[in-house]
Amino acid sequence: MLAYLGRRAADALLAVLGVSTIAFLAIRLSGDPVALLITEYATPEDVERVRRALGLDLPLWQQYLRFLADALRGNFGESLRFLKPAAPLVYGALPATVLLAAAALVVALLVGLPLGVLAGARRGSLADGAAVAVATLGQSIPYFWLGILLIMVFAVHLRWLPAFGSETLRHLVLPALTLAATPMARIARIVRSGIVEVLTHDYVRTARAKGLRHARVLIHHALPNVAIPVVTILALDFGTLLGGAVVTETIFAWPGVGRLVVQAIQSRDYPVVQAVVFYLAMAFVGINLLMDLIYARLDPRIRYQ
Amino acid sequence: MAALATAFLALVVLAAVAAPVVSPHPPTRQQIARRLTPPAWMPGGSPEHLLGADQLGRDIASRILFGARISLTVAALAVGIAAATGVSLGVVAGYYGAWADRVLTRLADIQLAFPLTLLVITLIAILGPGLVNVVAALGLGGWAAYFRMTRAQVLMVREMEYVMAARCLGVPDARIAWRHVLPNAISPLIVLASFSVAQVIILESALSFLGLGVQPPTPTWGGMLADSRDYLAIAWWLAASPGLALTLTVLAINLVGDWLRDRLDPRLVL
Repeated sequence: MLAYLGRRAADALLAVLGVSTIAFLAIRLSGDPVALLITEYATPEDVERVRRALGLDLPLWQQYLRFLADALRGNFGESLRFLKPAAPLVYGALPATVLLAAAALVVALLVGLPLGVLAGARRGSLADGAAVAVATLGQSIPYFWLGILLIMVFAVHLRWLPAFGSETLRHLVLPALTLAATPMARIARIVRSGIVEVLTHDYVRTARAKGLRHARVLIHHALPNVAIPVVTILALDFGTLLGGAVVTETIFAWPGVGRLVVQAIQSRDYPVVQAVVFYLAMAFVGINLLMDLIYARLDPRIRYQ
Repeated sequence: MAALATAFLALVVLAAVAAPVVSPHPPTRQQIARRLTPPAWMPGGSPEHLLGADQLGRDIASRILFGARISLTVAALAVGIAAATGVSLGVVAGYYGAWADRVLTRLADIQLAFPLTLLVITLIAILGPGLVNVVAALGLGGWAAYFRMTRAQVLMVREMEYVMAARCLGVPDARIAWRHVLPNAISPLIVLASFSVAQVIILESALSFLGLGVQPPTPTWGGMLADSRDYLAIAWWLAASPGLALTLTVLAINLVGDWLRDRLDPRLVL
C-alpha cells in the first residue's frame, strides 16, 4: 500500500512537473514578455533593466530552475493586469469554483442516481426510455447553450433567479444546474447499466428468494455494487467539471478560477495563466490520487501492490 | 434512431459542403436596417431571413450553414491528427514494447492527468487563437486516449495464434503490426473516435464562445452564441438556432456512437 502510494505520488509529481514545464514554456514561446510590460517610450536601457530584474538575461535552464523554485514557493510573479502577485488571485478565486463544482456534483448525484436506479430496475419501461433520453440529451447539450437557455427562461422571462454575479446563494442555482447536466447524464447512464448488470447476479436472486422487498434489494444489494463505477466516473469527470467551470463561470460572471484564467488569456496576463494552470493541475492530480484511495475503501477486493 | 441520426449528420455535412451555394446571403454581409429581424414565421419576420437576422443584420441561417463548415473541419482534422498519432504510437508501444512503451505510456499518463479542456486552453494561450491553432491544440490534446486504447488492444491481439502463425511464416514485424494486429484491434477505436468527434465539436464551440477559437468575422456556432448573450431579453432567436444546430449535431453523433458501440463492442464503457 505504501509502495503503491509512493509510486502514485511520484507519478503525480511528474504530471505536475510536466504541466508546469508547459506553463513555463508558454511565456517564453509567446513572444518577449518584456514587450508587454514596457511603454513605447522605454529606452533600450530600460528594457535591459526590466529584463535583468525579471531574470530574463539568464540562460534558459537557469530561468527554468528559478521558475520551479518560485512555483514551489507559490510565487508566480505579478499579474500584469492587476499589478498584484498572481498566486493570491488564484487562492481568492478558488473557493467560488469549489462551491460551484460541489453544488453541481450534488445536483448531478441527486438527479442522476435515482434516475439511473429507476431506469435500470425497470429496464425497457417507459420510465427507462425517458431516463435514457434525458441522459443522452444531457450528454449532448453544450454547457454554454444550456446556460443561455436557463438565463433566458429563469432570469429574463420568469425573473425568478439572477443571471449574473455571486452575492447570494440564489446566484448559485443557475450556474450549478448548468454545470450539473453532463455529470448527471453520465451518472444516470453508468448507474443504469450497473443496476441492469447487478440484478442478474445470484446474490440478488437469493435476496429476492428470501422474500426481501424490491426496494430493499435495490438499495442494500444492488446499489453498493454500483458505487465503484460511479466513483470512477466522478473522478474522471472532475477534469471535465473543471473545463465546464471555465465556460460556466464566464457565462454567469461567477468569480471563480475559470473566469480568471479566461480573462488572463485574453489580456495576455501570463503569470496568472501559469499560476492557475499549476494549481488546477495540482488539484486534479491530488483528487485522482484521493479517488484511488476511496476505491480501496469501497471495494475490499481491491488491494494495491 | 441511429438511422435518423445518420441521416441528420449526412444533411449537416451536405449543408457544410454546399454552404456557399445554398445559403441565401453571404454570411458576413451586414444590413443594419435589418438588425434583429425575427424568424420568418414571427410577426415582423421576413421570408428573406428564414431564421432571422442578428445584431448586425447578418442572416442567421447563412451563418449557421457556414458555421457548420468550421465545426466539421476542425472536428475531422483534430480527430484525424489525434487518432493517427495515438494509434501509430500505440501500435509501436504495444507491439514492440521495451523502452518506447515505457516512455510513451508515461507521457500519456502525464497528459491524461490533466483535464483536456484546460490543456487545450493552455495550448491556445501559447499558440494564440485561429483555425490552425485550434486544430493543433485539439489534435495534440487528444492523442493520449487513442494511444492507451490501441496499446491495450495490441497487447491482447499480439498473443493470438494467427499472429504467431504469421510470425512463423517469416512475415516482417512491421507488416504483422499493420496488416494483422491493427485491423483486429480497431473496433473500440472506431467507437472512441465517434465519441471524440462530438467532444471536439463541443470544445471548438466552447473556444469560439470564449473568444479563443476561430476569430470573427468567420461565423462559428460558438461565436454566434457568444454574441447572442447581449440580446437574450429582446431577440431569443440569436441564441436558439445556433445552439439547436450544435446540440442536434452532437446528439446525432452520440447516438451514432452508441449504436456503433452496441454493434462493435458492447462491453466497452465510454
